[in-house]
Amino acid sequence: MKSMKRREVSLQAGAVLIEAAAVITIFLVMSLGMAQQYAVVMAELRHHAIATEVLLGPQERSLSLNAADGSVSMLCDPGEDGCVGGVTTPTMTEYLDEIGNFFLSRADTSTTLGVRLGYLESHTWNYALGVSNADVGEAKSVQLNGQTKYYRKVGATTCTNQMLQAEIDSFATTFLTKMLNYKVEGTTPQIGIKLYKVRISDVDYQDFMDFLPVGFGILCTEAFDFLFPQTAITIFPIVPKRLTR
Amino acid sequence: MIFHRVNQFSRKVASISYFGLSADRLHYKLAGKFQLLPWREWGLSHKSCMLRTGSYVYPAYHKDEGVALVLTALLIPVLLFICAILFDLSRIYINAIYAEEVSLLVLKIASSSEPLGFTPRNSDMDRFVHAPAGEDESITLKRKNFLENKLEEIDRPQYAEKERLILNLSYGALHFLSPDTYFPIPEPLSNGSSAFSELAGRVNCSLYFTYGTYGGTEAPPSPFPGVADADYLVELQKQRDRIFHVDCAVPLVSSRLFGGLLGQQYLELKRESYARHSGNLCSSTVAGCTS
Repeated sequence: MKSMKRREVSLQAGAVLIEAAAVITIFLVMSLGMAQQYAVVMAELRHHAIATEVLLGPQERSLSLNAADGSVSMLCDPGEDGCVGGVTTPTMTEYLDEIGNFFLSRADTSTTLGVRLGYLESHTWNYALGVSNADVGEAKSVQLNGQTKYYRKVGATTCTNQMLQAEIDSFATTFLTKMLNYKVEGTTPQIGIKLYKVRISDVDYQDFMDFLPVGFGILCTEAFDFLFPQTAITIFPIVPKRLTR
Repeated sequence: MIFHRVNQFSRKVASISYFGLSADRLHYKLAGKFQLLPWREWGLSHKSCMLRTGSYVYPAYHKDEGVALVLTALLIPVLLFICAILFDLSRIYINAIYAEEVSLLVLKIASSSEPLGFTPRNSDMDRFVHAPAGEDESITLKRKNFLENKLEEIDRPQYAEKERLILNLSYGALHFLSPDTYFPIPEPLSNGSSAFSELAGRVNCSLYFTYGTYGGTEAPPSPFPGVADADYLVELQKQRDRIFHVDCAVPLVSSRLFGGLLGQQYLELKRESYARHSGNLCSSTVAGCTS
């Protein structure tokens, strides 16, 4: 009888012990999970702050102007494929570095920035067509030939270029393709950069720049690993502050 | 009377089971054993009971009662401490977001070439104060002197027109986003428990700026050229970069309750944003110099 009672008490003590262990484990997991979420959300909030500073910070010209004929072209680096007019001033690298160096002066060591510049090519005035230029200013094609440059203060990072490249490529392509295919009630709106619109003898003449530049940035903060590795990534479009001047 | 209550309680829980132990059995055990336990044996040591009764069950209740009391005595402060820590953490989290939002808003206002708003006079800069009602005058004076002290730190005789406009709009935004936040932080803030009372137990925030020098942008020279100097107007008209700082002092309830267990009575949160080319140093009183 005694031994039965003793066994019952030890069983109860064991159950309490297991219960206590389970509660402590759950509490720890919950605390770590919340801490991780807190850290990731705070990192993402910091990303928005950096992105805003970058957007309002210094920028180079995003289009190259040929003063001789007034034409504009996409920025191009030496040796880059697809450069119609050759190396431009500024080069694509100079444009990206202007943003990247400002980022490096502001961001903390755990954050990486990737920047690239894309273009939406627009239909321009076709003199051969005369007044029947119905598609002037409408988007013609997406141009995403330029490189993506990455800026970080540390060498080794969990935010690798390979990982970020896929993300920013996907975002940029989707973003520009949506702009390309944008329609309003079956009509295609003009979304390029308007140069002029004049009416001469009841005929409207208008022209647009060949390219509409749209930048893209990706911010990544080192993985938080309280429970499992989780990186904070923020992708954002950059509206260039400067065109040809 | 106590045994009667225990009986009642154990009957109430009889409809539920607990860790596989039948509720009826639990009732039986609780009721039966407490009734069997004589009054005079309460307070006897575990060992003496063992000797007297030869049973391990009865003394276990003596022991359990004591342990439960000790545990409760220990647990209540621990729970209070956890609650206070959670409260503090939530407050820190919310105010970290708040400070970041305010600094971003200031950045946007400052980056605008012509923000729309009222520009206060230089003599009104000590009015950017939101203090609790009935606050000690010496503490309010510390708040009033804040912007004047910051002006000395950036080595300028007075705030420029656009700076006054930005500060007015920014303090307005700070107050609009959280009307319960007092500003600015009394400076210098006292040490120890006095800090908590100077902050009035609430979050206090300060907003000010310093000049940035990224990419060769010049900060105002020191000493600044005099009005009669030929360089005076040139220096006034140069675009300046500004770094806007939002510092918030969050009082820690856990530290207050548990006597400075964490070493300090408040936590300082600092956020800043860099506003490039955010205006010159002109004032409408200077001829030929406009913001």
